[in-house]
Amino acid sequence: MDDDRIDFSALDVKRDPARFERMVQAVVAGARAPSPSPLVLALVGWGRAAVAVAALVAVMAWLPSMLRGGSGASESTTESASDPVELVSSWARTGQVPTDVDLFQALGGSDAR
Amino acid sequence: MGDEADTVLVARARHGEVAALETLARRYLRAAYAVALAIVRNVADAEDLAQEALMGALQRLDQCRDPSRFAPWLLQGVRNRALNQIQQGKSRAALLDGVVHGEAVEADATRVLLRRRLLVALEHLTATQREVVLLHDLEAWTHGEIAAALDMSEVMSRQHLFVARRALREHLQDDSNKEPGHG
Repeated sequence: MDDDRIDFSALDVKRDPARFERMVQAVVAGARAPSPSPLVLALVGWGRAAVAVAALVAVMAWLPSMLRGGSGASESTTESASDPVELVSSWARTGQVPTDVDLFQALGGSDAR
Repeated sequence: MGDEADTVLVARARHGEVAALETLARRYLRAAYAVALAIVRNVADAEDLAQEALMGALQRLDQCRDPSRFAPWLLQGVRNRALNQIQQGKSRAALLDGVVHGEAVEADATRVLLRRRLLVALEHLTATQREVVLLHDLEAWTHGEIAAALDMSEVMSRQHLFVARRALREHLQDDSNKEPGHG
Protein backbone atom coordinates (compact mmCIF):
# COMPACT_ATOMS: atom_id res chain seq x y z
CA MET A 1 0.00 0.00 0.00
CA ASP A 2 1.03 3.59 -0.62
CA ASP A 3 1.56 5.49 2.65
CA ASP A 4 1.01 8.83 0.94
CA ARG A 5 -2.51 7.84 0.02
CA ILE A 6 -5.23 10.38 0.83
CA ASP A 7 -7.94 8.83 2.97
CA PHE A 8 -11.08 9.09 0.84
CA SER A 9 -13.02 6.55 2.87
CA ALA A 10 -15.59 9.20 3.83
CA LEU A 11 -16.41 9.53 0.13
CA ASP A 12 -16.23 5.81 -0.58
CA VAL A 13 -19.35 4.45 -2.21
CA LYS A 14 -18.44 1.04 -0.75
CA ARG A 15 -18.43 2.32 2.83
CA ASP A 16 -21.88 0.78 3.20
CA PRO A 17 -21.52 -2.71 1.63
CA ALA A 18 -25.24 -3.43 1.68
CA ARG A 19 -26.04 -0.19 -0.08
CA PHE A 20 -23.27 -0.79 -2.62
CA GLU A 21 -24.69 -4.23 -3.31
CA ARG A 22 -28.14 -2.71 -3.89
CA MET A 23 -26.59 -0.28 -6.35
CA VAL A 24 -24.89 -3.13 -8.20
CA GLN A 25 -28.14 -5.08 -8.38
CA ALA A 26 -29.97 -1.99 -9.64
CA VAL A 27 -27.39 -1.59 -12.40
CA VAL A 28 -27.68 -5.25 -13.40
CA ALA A 29 -31.48 -5.12 -13.36
CA GLY A 30 -31.44 -1.99 -15.48
CA ALA A 31 -28.96 -3.51 -17.91
CA ARG A 32 -31.15 -6.58 -18.30
CA ALA A 33 -34.34 -4.61 -18.84
CA PRO A 34 -35.43 -4.95 -22.45
CA SER A 35 -34.54 -1.88 -24.42
CA PRO A 36 -36.78 -0.83 -27.34
CA SER A 37 -36.19 -3.15 -30.29
CA PRO A 38 -34.58 -1.74 -33.44
CA LEU A 39 -37.91 -2.27 -35.22
CA VAL A 40 -39.74 -0.06 -32.70
CA LEU A 41 -37.04 2.60 -32.93
CA ALA A 42 -37.26 2.46 -36.74
CA LEU A 43 -41.04 2.83 -36.62
CA VAL A 44 -40.74 5.82 -34.28
CA GLY A 45 -38.26 7.34 -36.72
CA TRP A 46 -40.57 6.71 -39.66
CA GLY A 47 -43.49 8.09 -37.66
CA ARG A 48 -41.68 11.37 -37.19
CA ALA A 49 -40.88 11.51 -40.90
CA ALA A 50 -44.52 10.74 -41.77
CA VAL A 51 -45.76 13.59 -39.57
CA ALA A 52 -43.33 15.98 -41.25
CA VAL A 53 -44.47 14.88 -44.73
CA ALA A 54 -48.15 15.22 -43.73
CA ALA A 55 -47.52 18.74 -42.48
CA LEU A 56 -45.79 19.62 -45.77
CA VAL A 57 -48.68 18.21 -47.81
CA ALA A 58 -51.17 20.19 -45.70
CA VAL A 59 -49.26 23.40 -46.30
CA MET A 60 -49.04 22.70 -50.04
CA ALA A 61 -52.77 22.01 -50.18
CA TRP A 62 -53.61 25.15 -48.24
CA LEU A 63 -51.26 27.44 -50.14
CA PRO A 64 -53.21 27.64 -53.45
CA SER A 65 -56.48 28.45 -51.67
CA MET A 66 -54.70 31.19 -49.74
CA LEU A 67 -53.20 32.60 -52.94
CA ARG A 68 -56.67 32.57 -54.54
CA GLY A 69 -57.96 34.59 -51.61
CA GLY A 70 -57.58 37.88 -53.57
CA SER A 71 -59.90 36.76 -56.41
CA GLY A 72 -62.48 35.38 -54.00
CA ALA A 73 -64.63 38.55 -54.11
CA SER A 74 -65.32 38.30 -57.84
CA GLU A 75 -66.20 34.63 -57.44
CA SER A 76 -68.75 35.48 -54.76
CA THR A 77 -70.29 38.15 -56.99
CA THR A 78 -70.76 35.65 -59.77
CA GLU A 79 -72.12 33.18 -57.33
CA SER A 80 -74.62 35.70 -55.93
CA ALA A 81 -76.45 35.86 -59.28
CA SER A 82 -77.78 32.38 -58.68
CA ASP A 83 -78.51 33.05 -55.03
CA PRO A 84 -82.34 32.93 -54.55
CA VAL A 85 -82.25 35.59 -51.85
CA GLU A 86 -80.26 37.89 -54.08
CA LEU A 87 -82.58 37.13 -56.98
CA VAL A 88 -85.74 37.94 -55.00
CA SER A 89 -84.08 41.09 -53.67
CA SER A 90 -83.27 42.23 -57.19
CA TRP A 91 -86.91 41.66 -58.21
CA ALA A 92 -87.99 43.81 -55.31
CA ARG A 93 -85.52 46.56 -56.14
CA THR A 94 -86.33 46.70 -59.83
CA GLY A 95 -90.06 46.09 -59.44
CA GLN A 96 -89.82 43.23 -61.87
CA VAL A 97 -92.64 40.74 -61.55
CA PRO A 98 -91.19 37.23 -61.74
CA THR A 99 -92.87 34.72 -63.95
CA ASP A 100 -93.83 31.27 -62.78
CA VAL A 101 -90.75 29.91 -64.57
CA ASP A 102 -88.51 32.42 -62.77
CA LEU A 103 -89.97 31.40 -59.41
CA PHE A 104 -89.62 27.72 -60.24
CA GLN A 105 -86.03 28.19 -61.32
CA ALA A 106 -85.24 30.23 -58.21
CA LEU A 107 -86.72 27.57 -55.91
CA GLY A 108 -85.22 24.78 -57.95
CA GLY A 109 -81.81 26.44 -57.64
CA SER A 110 -82.37 26.68 -53.91
CA ASP A 111 -83.27 22.99 -53.66
CA ALA A 112 -80.23 22.07 -55.63
CA ARG A 113 -77.93 23.56 -52.98
CA MET B 1 -8.48 -4.21 -13.74
CA GLY B 2 -7.55 -7.37 -15.61
CA ASP B 3 -7.94 -6.67 -19.31
CA GLU B 4 -8.06 -10.31 -20.26
CA ALA B 5 -10.79 -10.92 -17.78
CA ASP B 6 -12.69 -7.92 -19.09
CA THR B 7 -12.57 -9.30 -22.62
CA VAL B 8 -14.01 -12.59 -21.44
CA LEU B 9 -16.58 -10.92 -19.20
CA VAL B 10 -17.77 -8.61 -21.96
CA ALA B 11 -18.12 -11.56 -24.32
CA ARG B 12 -20.14 -13.49 -21.75
CA ALA B 13 -22.24 -10.47 -20.86
CA ARG B 14 -23.03 -9.92 -24.53
CA HIS B 15 -24.55 -13.39 -24.51
CA GLY B 16 -26.76 -12.36 -21.61
CA GLU B 17 -24.89 -14.01 -18.75
CA VAL B 18 -26.13 -12.31 -15.63
CA ALA B 19 -23.07 -13.35 -13.60
CA ALA B 20 -20.81 -11.56 -16.08
CA LEU B 21 -22.95 -8.43 -15.94
CA GLU B 22 -22.79 -8.54 -12.15
CA THR B 23 -19.03 -8.93 -12.10
CA LEU B 24 -18.55 -6.01 -14.48
CA ALA B 25 -20.94 -3.85 -12.46
CA ARG B 26 -19.26 -4.73 -9.17
CA ARG B 27 -15.80 -4.22 -10.62
CA TYR B 28 -16.42 -0.83 -12.21
CA LEU B 29 -19.17 0.90 -10.23
CA ARG B 30 -16.74 2.60 -7.87
CA ALA B 31 -14.40 3.66 -10.69
CA ALA B 32 -17.38 5.13 -12.53
CA TYR B 33 -18.39 6.89 -9.32
CA ALA B 34 -14.85 8.28 -8.88
CA VAL B 35 -14.83 9.79 -12.38
CA ALA B 36 -18.35 11.19 -11.97
CA LEU B 37 -17.42 12.65 -8.58
CA ALA B 38 -14.31 14.24 -10.10
CA ILE B 39 -16.55 16.16 -12.49
CA VAL B 40 -19.80 16.91 -10.64
CA ARG B 41 -18.21 17.15 -7.12
CA ASN B 42 -21.45 16.00 -5.59
CA VAL B 43 -21.79 12.60 -3.95
CA ALA B 44 -25.46 12.01 -4.72
CA ASP B 45 -25.13 13.13 -8.34
CA ALA B 46 -22.00 11.05 -8.77
CA GLU B 47 -23.71 7.93 -7.45
CA ASP B 48 -26.66 8.42 -9.79
CA LEU B 49 -24.46 9.17 -12.77
CA ALA B 50 -22.23 6.18 -12.13
CA GLN B 51 -25.20 3.84 -11.98
CA GLU B 52 -26.84 5.29 -15.08
CA ALA B 53 -23.64 5.28 -17.11
CA LEU B 54 -22.74 1.73 -16.11
CA MET B 55 -26.26 0.55 -16.85
CA GLY B 56 -26.16 2.22 -20.26
CA ALA B 57 -22.75 0.76 -21.04
CA LEU B 58 -23.86 -2.76 -20.13
CA GLN B 59 -26.94 -2.36 -22.33
CA ARG B 60 -24.80 -1.26 -25.26
CA LEU B 61 -21.94 -3.74 -24.98
CA ASP B 62 -22.25 -4.42 -28.71
CA GLN B 63 -20.95 -0.91 -29.28
CA CYS B 64 -17.78 -1.56 -27.30
CA ARG B 65 -15.44 -2.20 -30.23
CA ASP B 66 -12.50 -3.33 -28.14
CA PRO B 67 -13.64 -5.28 -25.07
CA SER B 68 -10.09 -5.20 -23.68
CA ARG B 69 -10.63 -1.44 -23.35
CA PHE B 70 -13.99 -1.71 -21.62
CA ALA B 71 -12.85 0.50 -18.73
CA PRO B 72 -11.73 3.50 -20.84
CA TRP B 73 -14.90 3.16 -22.93
CA LEU B 74 -17.09 3.08 -19.82
CA LEU B 75 -15.30 5.97 -18.13
CA GLN B 76 -15.57 8.11 -21.26
CA GLY B 77 -19.32 7.50 -21.13
CA VAL B 78 -19.38 8.53 -17.47
CA ARG B 79 -17.40 11.68 -18.28
CA ASN B 80 -19.74 12.61 -21.13
CA ARG B 81 -22.83 12.15 -18.98
CA ALA B 82 -21.35 14.16 -16.15
CA LEU B 83 -20.34 17.01 -18.44
CA ASN B 84 -23.79 16.99 -20.07
CA GLN B 85 -25.41 17.18 -16.67
CA ILE B 86 -23.29 20.16 -15.71
CA GLN B 87 -23.95 21.91 -19.02
CA GLN B 88 -27.67 21.37 -18.64
CA GLY B 89 -27.57 22.71 -15.09
CA LYS B 90 -29.17 19.55 -13.75
CA SER B 91 -26.58 19.11 -11.04
CA ARG B 92 -27.95 19.48 -7.57
CA ALA B 93 -27.56 23.14 -6.82
CA ALA B 94 -24.95 23.47 -4.16
CA LEU B 95 -21.85 21.48 -3.45
CA LEU B 96 -22.80 20.97 0.14
CA ASP B 97 -26.33 19.88 -0.73
CA GLY B 98 -24.77 16.77 -2.15
CA VAL B 99 -22.95 16.17 1.08
CA VAL B 100 -26.09 16.45 3.11
CA HIS B 101 -28.29 14.52 0.64
CA GLY B 102 -29.52 11.28 2.10
CA GLU B 103 -27.58 11.61 5.26
CA ALA B 104 -30.36 12.44 7.67
CA VAL B 105 -30.04 8.95 9.05
CA GLU B 106 -26.28 8.94 9.07
CA ALA B 107 -25.35 9.41 12.68
CA ASP B 108 -21.64 9.72 12.11
CA ALA B 109 -21.23 13.50 12.13
CA THR B 110 -17.48 13.21 11.96
CA ARG B 111 -17.69 11.35 8.69
CA VAL B 112 -20.09 13.94 7.27
CA LEU B 113 -17.71 16.70 8.26
CA LEU B 114 -14.73 14.86 6.80
CA ARG B 115 -16.60 14.26 3.56
CA ARG B 116 -17.44 17.94 3.33
CA ARG B 117 -13.80 18.89 3.91
CA LEU B 118 -12.63 16.45 1.24
CA LEU B 119 -15.12 17.79 -1.31
CA VAL B 120 -14.13 21.36 -0.60
CA ALA B 121 -10.44 20.46 -0.93
CA LEU B 122 -11.12 18.61 -4.21
CA GLU B 123 -12.58 21.84 -5.56
CA HIS B 124 -9.02 23.21 -5.74
CA LEU B 125 -7.89 20.55 -8.23
CA THR B 126 -8.46 20.25 -11.95
CA ALA B 127 -10.91 17.60 -13.17
CA THR B 128 -8.04 15.43 -14.42
CA GLN B 129 -6.18 15.69 -11.10
CA ARG B 130 -9.38 14.73 -9.30
CA GLU B 131 -9.89 11.72 -11.57
CA VAL B 132 -6.32 10.53 -11.05
CA VAL B 133 -6.24 10.96 -7.29
CA LEU B 134 -9.67 9.40 -6.80
CA LEU B 135 -8.94 6.43 -9.07
CA HIS B 136 -5.56 5.89 -7.38
CA ASP B 137 -6.33 6.57 -3.73
CA LEU B 138 -10.02 5.62 -3.58
CA GLU B 139 -10.24 2.89 -6.21
CA ALA B 140 -6.61 1.71 -5.80
CA TRP B 141 -5.88 1.61 -9.51
CA THR B 142 -2.25 1.49 -10.62
CA HIS B 143 -0.71 4.23 -12.73
CA GLY B 144 -0.71 1.83 -15.66
CA GLU B 145 -4.44 1.30 -15.30
CA ILE B 146 -5.12 5.00 -14.86
CA ALA B 147 -2.95 5.88 -17.84
CA ALA B 148 -4.82 3.41 -20.03
CA ALA B 149 -8.23 4.53 -18.83
CA LEU B 150 -7.60 8.26 -19.04
CA ASP B 151 -5.50 8.10 -22.21
CA MET B 152 -2.33 9.59 -20.75
CA SER B 153 1.19 8.39 -20.00
CA GLU B 154 2.07 6.80 -16.67
CA VAL B 155 4.48 9.66 -16.07
CA MET B 156 1.62 12.14 -16.42
CA SER B 157 -0.52 10.05 -14.10
CA ARG B 158 2.21 10.14 -11.45
CA GLN B 159 2.66 13.86 -11.95
CA HIS B 160 -1.06 14.54 -11.58
CA LEU B 161 -1.19 12.39 -8.45
CA PHE B 162 1.77 14.16 -6.88
CA VAL B 163 0.36 17.64 -7.52
CA ALA B 164 -3.14 16.62 -6.47
CA ARG B 165 -2.04 15.08 -3.18
CA ARG B 166 0.10 18.06 -2.30
CA ALA B 167 -2.73 20.49 -3.00
CA LEU B 168 -5.24 18.38 -1.10
CA ARG B 169 -2.99 18.13 1.94
CA GLU B 170 -2.44 21.87 1.95
CA HIS B 171 -6.14 22.63 1.80
CA LEU B 172 -7.11 19.95 4.28
CA GLN B 173 -4.47 21.28 6.66
CA ASP B 174 -5.69 24.88 6.19
CA ASP B 175 -9.25 23.76 6.72
CA SER B 176 -8.28 21.86 9.84
CA ASN B 177 -6.45 24.92 11.28
CA LYS B 178 -9.51 27.11 10.71
CA GLU B 179 -11.80 24.85 12.68
CA PRO B 180 -12.75 26.00 16.20
CA GLY B 181 -10.42 24.56 18.74
CA HIS B 182 -7.54 24.30 16.29
CA GLY B 183 -6.54 27.96 16.23
